[in-house]
Amino acid sequence: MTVTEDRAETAPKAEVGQARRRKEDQRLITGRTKWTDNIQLPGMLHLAMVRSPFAHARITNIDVEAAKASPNVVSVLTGADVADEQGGLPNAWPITPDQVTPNHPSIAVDRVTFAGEIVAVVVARSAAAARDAVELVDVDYEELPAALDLKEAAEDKVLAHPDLGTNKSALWVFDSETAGSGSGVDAAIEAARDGGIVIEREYRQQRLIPAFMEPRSCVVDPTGDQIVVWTATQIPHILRFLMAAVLGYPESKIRVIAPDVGGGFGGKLQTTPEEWITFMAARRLGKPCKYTESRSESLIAAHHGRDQWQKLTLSAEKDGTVTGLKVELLADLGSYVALMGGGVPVLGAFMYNSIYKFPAYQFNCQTVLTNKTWTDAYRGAGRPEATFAIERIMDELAAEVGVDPMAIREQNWITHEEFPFTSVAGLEYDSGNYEAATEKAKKMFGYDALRAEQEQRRASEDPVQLGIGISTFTEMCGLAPSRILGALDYGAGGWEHASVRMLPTGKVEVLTGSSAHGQGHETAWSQIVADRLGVPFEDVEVLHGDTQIAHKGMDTYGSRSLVVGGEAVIKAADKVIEKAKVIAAHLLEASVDDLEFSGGRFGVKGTDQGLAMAEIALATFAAHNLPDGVEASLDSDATFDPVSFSYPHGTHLCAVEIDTETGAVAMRKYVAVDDIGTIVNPLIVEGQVHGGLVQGIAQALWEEAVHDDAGTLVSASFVDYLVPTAADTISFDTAHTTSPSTTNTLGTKGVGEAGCIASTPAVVNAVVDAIRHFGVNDVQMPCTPARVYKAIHQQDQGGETPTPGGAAPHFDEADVADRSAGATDGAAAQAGDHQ
Amino acid sequence: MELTHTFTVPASIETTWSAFNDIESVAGCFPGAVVTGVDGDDFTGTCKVKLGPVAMVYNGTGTFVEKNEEAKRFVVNAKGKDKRGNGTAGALVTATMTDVGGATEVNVLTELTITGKPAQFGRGVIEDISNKLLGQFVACLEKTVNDGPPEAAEVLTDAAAPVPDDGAGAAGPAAADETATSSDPVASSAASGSAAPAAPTPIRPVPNRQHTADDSLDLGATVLPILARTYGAQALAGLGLLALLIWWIRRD
Repeated sequence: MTVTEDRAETAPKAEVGQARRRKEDQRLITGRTKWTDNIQLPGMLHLAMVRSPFAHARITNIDVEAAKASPNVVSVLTGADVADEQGGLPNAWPITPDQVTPNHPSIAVDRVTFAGEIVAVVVARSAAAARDAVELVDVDYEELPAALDLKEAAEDKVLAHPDLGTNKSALWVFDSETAGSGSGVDAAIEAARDGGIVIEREYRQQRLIPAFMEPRSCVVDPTGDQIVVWTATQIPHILRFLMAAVLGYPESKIRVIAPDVGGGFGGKLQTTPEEWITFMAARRLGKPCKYTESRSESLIAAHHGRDQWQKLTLSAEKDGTVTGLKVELLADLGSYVALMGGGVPVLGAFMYNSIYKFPAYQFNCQTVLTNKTWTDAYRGAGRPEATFAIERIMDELAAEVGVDPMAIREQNWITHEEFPFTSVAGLEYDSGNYEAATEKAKKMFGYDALRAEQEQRRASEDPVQLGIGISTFTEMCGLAPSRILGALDYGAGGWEHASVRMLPTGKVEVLTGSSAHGQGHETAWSQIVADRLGVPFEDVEVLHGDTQIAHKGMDTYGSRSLVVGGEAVIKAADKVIEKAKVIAAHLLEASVDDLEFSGGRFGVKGTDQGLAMAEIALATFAAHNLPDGVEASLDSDATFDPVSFSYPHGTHLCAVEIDTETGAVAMRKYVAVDDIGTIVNPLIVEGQVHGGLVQGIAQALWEEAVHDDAGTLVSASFVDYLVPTAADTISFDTAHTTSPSTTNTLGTKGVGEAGCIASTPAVVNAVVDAIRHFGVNDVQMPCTPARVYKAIHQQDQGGETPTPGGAAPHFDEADVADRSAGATDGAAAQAGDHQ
Repeated sequence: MELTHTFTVPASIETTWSAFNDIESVAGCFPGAVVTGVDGDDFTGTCKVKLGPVAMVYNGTGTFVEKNEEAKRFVVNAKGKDKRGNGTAGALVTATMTDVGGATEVNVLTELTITGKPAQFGRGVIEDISNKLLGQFVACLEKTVNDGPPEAAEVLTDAAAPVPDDGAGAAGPAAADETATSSDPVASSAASGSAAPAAPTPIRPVPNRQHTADDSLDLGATVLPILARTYGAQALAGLGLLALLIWWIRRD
């Protein structure tokens, strides 16, 4: 008895679930961060890029003499110089066998395909000298017509790559009838046309920019046996593999290090021309080379996100029970097919049906090449688009049926008794409880009271109207089961690797292939391992982001780190325990079966004899007394490949106030109740949710990448591209319900993207809800005052007293009418931001 | 981007037509522009433009692609490239003249294509700028038509008058709007003043003083009344404060 009592006292209280402060933060916030750009090497040279001002042009001549003669310039490289060695930047995910994929040179050779593409590279002894010399490179272009508008490009009016003969890259189709996971959608729609409800809508996913805090930077040191690459990337392991594969250099001779990385949001899930160029320059010159981009280079040339037209047809019975959903997407790839490329919209293919019981479903995605910056993953990648579309059109269905939008959801969603549930897209949702999350959210939100206030404002024709937006979302995260990725023709697997090393002093080193760039892996992994091995939190050191230390991995994206990478860590820790158990039994002269492991101590049942993990680690190190045939090591590796995705869900409620006289949108209240399964660290989760919410709200209200009619990105600075600050948002009320995932040990689900996926439709639904009585059923994102005002007055052509254009330039018809029109629309957004 | 402007020159259509055919004097009237060579219907020239911190020198060529004496219409196609790689500018200008009771109404249709940094940072205000430029252009043109060739600098000297003491007061949104077309001094000085909060142009209390020295056109200065209008209160507050400061410094 006493023994167990002591045990209870000494047993550390569970780390998982504690709101630990992030152990990495003290260093990160006290100026001891090691960004790639901080790296200084002896004799290091600096790169600067000459970029095309034209969206589409033939390069007729490049005169580099003046630049070469400029002080401290070592070399100037053009596409012609490296044409033979540079190969093409990879597309890891050809979504169809016949995908049309233009070759993607890191330096344009004879033709530029978007404004900002690199045409020459200056290498100099200082960054300043390189930038100065860039201005001396004289490039002659022969302008070509540019394919800019997505819809026109889809009609092949102007070709982004004339040699390819078409802008259509690939058509990807999922049909529940052919897949056997549901019935035919066209039949359902036809049936609904007679007596039922058919709702057809087209939504716009504007072009966004990941806008990570740390601009991209890359340092390559070729002076050792191995070429060492430091780069601000989310994917050091994938980069190493692809550099070797594309540049024909032995993988064993390349070491990639992702030091502290300042955010990515998908924007650093890429192999970039800049990385390729720095690598080639360093190899040619035999000296360390560094390239760090400017902010506007980052906004112009780092990949963009979203940019889709979403055509939806929803069929339902008269009472609002959904019978079918057909999705037709146009996705803008930009001028090249990026690393994930067309795979991004395809990641949404299984999510449009969301939490609703559609018997029939069809998804068609046409990817299109244009002469704009190439697009790729941006926080949520495919799933925010899906969630936005379905949550918007469910509101439209509610309006059509004439019921509360929450009622239409309750009528159609999967109830908690029905889990595990196989969706019409063929995915098995392991767990969830939409009723519970919604109940909690409505209580926190004061749903009924706000609805009442809305009624009252409608009645009193209050110039400030209230709108309530709902988003009951789910997402698939934890990328990804390798089998599924294989079935989708993705170029790699979705496993993750981890190692746990027991040091003689009892300290623990955890190596993870999932390389963090701000998520707090060091802290969360330490909590998990501390619990697993029963060692103090402080004794666990998490190492990552260097292919020489954490040699295997699939890196960090798609909310996969905890559910895949974390599970690998657990499996490795369990192997350590198994190895230790044998040695403990030997040292305790007991049978393995008589041992019990708890609180970091192997005890012999029914006695007070036992050995702590640290003691066994030391004994193993000494190796003086090990059982025959047992290795003198407790260190263990594990590679975990998930059997399925994890499906976090939640209910987000948003209330906005709209000044119907100015179109200004002000957030009134935001409630987010997320079910992300077991929570390892509530503090980190809170941070992820808040950041995600702001990013999703920003798409709804502020952010848009705008190109002018010549294809120049006119939102190429943070003056015009409106990343919100804390001052622009409100305080969020967040809470959680918990239905543990059944597909991993801890029951965790991903949280990295949840907030970003759920919030956008909640906000836009609220905006539309506030002004629906003006006959409005959509406002295009970002919902700037100009667009809201235009929507309100679409019937009465600007109201009795139209605003004089001169007094409010952003209200000019032209600006407002042409929603893709350049900076003037940006100006509208600014005005909105300044309300 | 298409721009349309109409202005009236107080001279007979013939005088105006001939004036317009003297490309040097016409181009010389365009702020920042210098014609370096004329060969029949072709001409070469440079145009210096400053947009806040971005300074461009467009070297380019132009051609009269059409000269229609009867219809009193000519079409000029001009293309220029910044010698520091900051982008290109092209303009297809169609000018048509009609007699309106002795005076001449000139209708100018410009198809403007701008690439690179100026397009990135300045596109939102190009239309407003071009209106202001045309104001200067016409003023100069009137001189040309009435009393022969001008000194290109003259126009800018106007634009570069020092800040009047009432600079602050005159710079409300309405005032800025009106100054953008008429009263240049306040416009440009107000402009440079409000640079600090509103635009990338660094604070230079009396920037245009320098501009009289070099013959470049400071779009920063030209743009700022418009920016002040777009960016609203904060900008103007800052501007008021600055102008007041300048006035105060000047006094003693």
